[in-house]
Formats: sequence, C-alpha cells, structure tokens
Amino acid sequence: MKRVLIVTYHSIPALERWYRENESSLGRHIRILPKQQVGKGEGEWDVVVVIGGSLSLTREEIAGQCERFGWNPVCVHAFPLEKSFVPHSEAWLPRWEAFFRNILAGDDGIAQVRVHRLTSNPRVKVLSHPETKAQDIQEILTALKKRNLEVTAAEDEWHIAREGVNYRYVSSGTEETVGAFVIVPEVKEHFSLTLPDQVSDTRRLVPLSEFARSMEQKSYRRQRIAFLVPSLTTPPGVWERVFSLSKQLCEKDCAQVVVLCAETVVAGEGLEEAYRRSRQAGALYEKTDLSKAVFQETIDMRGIQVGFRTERDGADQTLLFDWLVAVPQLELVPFDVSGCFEADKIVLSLDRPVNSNLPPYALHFQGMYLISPFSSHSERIELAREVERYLSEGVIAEEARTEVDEEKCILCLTCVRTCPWGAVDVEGVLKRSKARVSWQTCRLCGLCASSCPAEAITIAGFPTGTDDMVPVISCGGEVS
Amino acid sequence: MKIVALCCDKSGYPAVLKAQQEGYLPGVELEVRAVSCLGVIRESLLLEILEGEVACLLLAGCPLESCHNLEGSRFAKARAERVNALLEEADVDKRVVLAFCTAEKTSQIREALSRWLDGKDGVM
Repeated sequence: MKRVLIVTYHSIPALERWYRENESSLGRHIRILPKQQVGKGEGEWDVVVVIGGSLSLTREEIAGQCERFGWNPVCVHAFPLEKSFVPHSEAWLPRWEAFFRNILAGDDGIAQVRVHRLTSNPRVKVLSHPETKAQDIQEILTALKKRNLEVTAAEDEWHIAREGVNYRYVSSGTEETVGAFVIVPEVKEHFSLTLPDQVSDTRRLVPLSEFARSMEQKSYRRQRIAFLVPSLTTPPGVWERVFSLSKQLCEKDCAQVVVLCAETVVAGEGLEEAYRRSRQAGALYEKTDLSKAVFQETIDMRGIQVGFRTERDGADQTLLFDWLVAVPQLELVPFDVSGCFEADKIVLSLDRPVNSNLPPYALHFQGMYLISPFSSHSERIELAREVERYLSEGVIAEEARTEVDEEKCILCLTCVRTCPWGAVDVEGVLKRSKARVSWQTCRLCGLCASSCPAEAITIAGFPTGTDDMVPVISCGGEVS
Repeated sequence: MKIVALCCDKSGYPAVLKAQQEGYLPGVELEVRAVSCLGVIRESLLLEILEGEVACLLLAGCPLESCHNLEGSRFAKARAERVNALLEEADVDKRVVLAFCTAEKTSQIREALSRWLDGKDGVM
C-alpha cells in the first residue's frame, strides 16, 4: 500500500475532517503531521505532500526543506493554501481532493499537476509613490475599473504579507485580501551622457527644466543652442517640450537650434504635428551617436565645439554652440518595500525582472505589476488587460519558452551559430552535453528551432508547426 | 485570386496591413499570417501552403541588411529560392514572392507582386 505523508505548515481542521471521512475510500496509508513534528527517521514515504503558506518558495528553498526533513524529492507538488479559504470547507475541499487524487494517480512519481488559482479575488490595490500626481493615479484606476476590477488606491502607510496566491494588505487598522497590486514608482530624471569636466565648467550645459525656466527671464537672441538627447527611451512628454522650446527659440529669438539625438520620437498624440512645426520654424534634427561625439570648450569658455558623425550620410561635422541643453530620460526608481513586505525571503525593493519574455509590466512576484506614472493611455489599457488575465488565470506565464530535447540534440552547434542574440550555449560534459537556451536572453525569434537539423528545439507555447503555426489574421481582402 | 502572406512581426506584418488598407492589393483575397521572424519558416511549410488553393505565397520581412534578428530574412530568402527552383523544375507556375521592406514602406510589396504578375522574378 502506498504510504503518503501530508505535512502542513498551519493547523488545518478541514483537512483532518476530510481525512477522517475519506480514510477508507482513499486506499492509502496516509498520515498528517504539522511541520514542527516532522523529523528524520519518519520511515519511508512514497509521496510527501507539503502544504505551504506561500508560493514564493524557490526550488532551492524547497530542496533545503527536504534536506532538513531527510527526504529526496523526486517531484514537488505545490498546493496553494489560503488561510481565508480553510474554514469554508465546501469550497476548499473539492479542489484539495481533486489535487490530491491527481498526485496519487501519478504512480511513477512524474504526475504533472498544474496549479490553478483557487479563488478569483478581483480586488486590485494601486500602490504609488507619495510624489506621484493624483491625476496619474486616477487615470490608472480608471483604466483598471473599465475592466470591471475592484480597484482602490493604497493609504499612506501600509503593510503587505503573502497569503497563498493572494496578499494580505494591512493599513490603519483595516485588513483585506488583495489579488494583485499595481505599483506606480517614483520617476527620476537622468541624463545618461557624461561630458568632460572642462565642458561642465563652462556652465554652458543646462538641464532642460532649468533651461525652460531661464527662457522666461533671459533672451537667447541669435544664439546657437544644441539639445542633446542621448537616450532612445526619452518619453514622448519630454520630446513635446523639446519640440515646443526649439520652435519658440527659432521663432521668437531667431536662435539657431540643433537637436542632436539618437532617435526622434514622434509616436504620440499631437507629437508629429509639434515636430513638423518645430522643423518648419527652422530647428535642425540630426541623428547621431552622441556617445562618440567630441565635446570641447572654446578658449574663451563661452562656447562649446561639438564634433559628431551624422547617421544620415556618415559625414563628420563640427559645430560651435553657445548653449548645450541636457535632455534627460526618465528612470523608474525601484519601489522600496523594505520593512513592509513579508515573504519567505527578504524583499527590499521591487525592480523590473531581467527576463524579457515575461509579460510587460510583470514583476518577479506574481500579481505585482509596475507601471510608470507617465505611461501612455494604451499602456494603461494593456496593463489592465494583463492584470485581468492574471486574476482569471492565476499565473503570469511567459509568452513562450524555447526548449531543447536532450534526446534529439546531436550537438552540431548550428543553433549556437544561428542565434542572433547569443542566447544559446552548451551545457554538460563530453557526450552528455546538449544545447542550452538562456530564457532571459532569448527573444523567441525561432531561428534556432527552424535551423536545427535534428528538430530538437521547439518553442513551447508558440507552436511552429504547419496548421497551427500562426493564427490567420485576416482573410477575404479586408482588414478586420 | 488568393494570396497567402507570411509576414514577420516587426516589419512585414504592419507593411502588408498598410498596403491592404491603402488599396494596393485590389481584387486579391489575402490571408495574412504573422510569424516572429521570417527565418522560422521551413521549406516544408512553404510547399504545404502552395499545395493549397493559393496563387502565390508572399513572404514579407525586414530588409536583408537590417533584419531585426540579423539573419532571418537571409534564411527566408535562401529557402524561398530553393522552393522556387523546385517549383520551376516541377513545371508548377506558383511561386514564393519575397518582399523585404520596412514597416512603413509598402511600395516593395506592390512592386514584388506586380513583378510576379508580369511573370518576372519576384525577389526585390
């Protein structure tokens, strides 16, 4: 008879009751023990089910627990327990029973149990930095409310703890269970280009905000001004200011304005028109790699010479400017949760994950989403859709994942040569080695899968077969 | 006339949709399928699609020298040329037409299709 040990992190009366009622029908030797009573020398168990309080345990942490208990885990099944669910045995037990029988069905120890969300708690809390504008928060709340989600903004002081797949949110005496959090972090202006100290000493390099203020008091008549936009990620709002300032300088002060940028952003409401007007007023826009530009102050320290190579025709140019305007990019400061977020591991701040295949806005923690306060309307809608999907499905699935079949891989290294992103390398030793795809670097282009002569590489979740390869987008001569 | 267009997400798909919206493809029943990169399309898939009731197969992807995934368009071109050679050998008049264009430029698609209609090589 199969011997099953159930270890619980908390006392679960409903589970004990279920066991007493179903002991005869289960046909297994089952023992339920609280975590504290588990020790070495418990005997041999065929299946050990640990009911934890949190899903944020990593594989290493689970392995550590097993080592402490003296077990050798072949397969780990996760059953997300929610404290709030336990007393309502009618709702909790059928799911538990289905889960348990599913585990026992896999006699060979490779039962694949997909962990579903146990409750659809549609409550979403928006946590924001104190300095974020109320209007920005309101727009994010509106976007979420349109998806029929129950949304509230967080109080000034709060505390979060993991509670199964959900979170317990505590603030000024009130406690509630929250399914997901949308975090609006602080945004910091940052100019990424480093200029020589001599150039900075001329005091002719001015940040954009300071320059805009000085325009009200000072005339830049017939002066030569360069806007430096080194970043590709300068947001549309900043570009709007650049367009309007350059137009104003050209028209009112008859100044010569050159915008040196890595890329011009005109994708935004009214931005293309603002760009056109700025060009018409006489501002010049030159695409160049500013990291390779040469900056040198003039002898009288009243001007700065900028040498750069234009991307348009590759010609070297050297221009003299009276003023350089540093156009910043906006950087999200990781949200500080030190001391107010309880989890199985210490969490100091919430930062964007490095895995590019995760859905946009998702963080390391399930149910936590990050959005910039300066996000566009479409980004907010996209976020709301993502949160709604998470609350209904209960997982933040990666878009797809490249997998290598160990049995099929012939180690020809074609994929290593083919991958344009350098995401493939080789793991293992000698004849037991195989190709390995880094999930963090992989961009899911699929070139390795199509080039592999042994057809060992597949993209899970993104079928590349024939019929089901891609959905038909439009048919019949009309775009839907 | 039915045409199946396999487009890459980055350039081909928006370009084909734009071409269709601008009315460059009148009287054409177009079936658009998007892939992550043209380089993922195997020759077997090209032949399988051509076995159906399609007049031609349009592959629209990034420009050869600036493919988002560096080699994707080049792979697609080599495979399409091999398939076209097979079709010619088998005396089948269907062809794989290639158009390498940016997301904004639709003229390459129109020109590739009109060249194919004129019985010329469809590669731009």
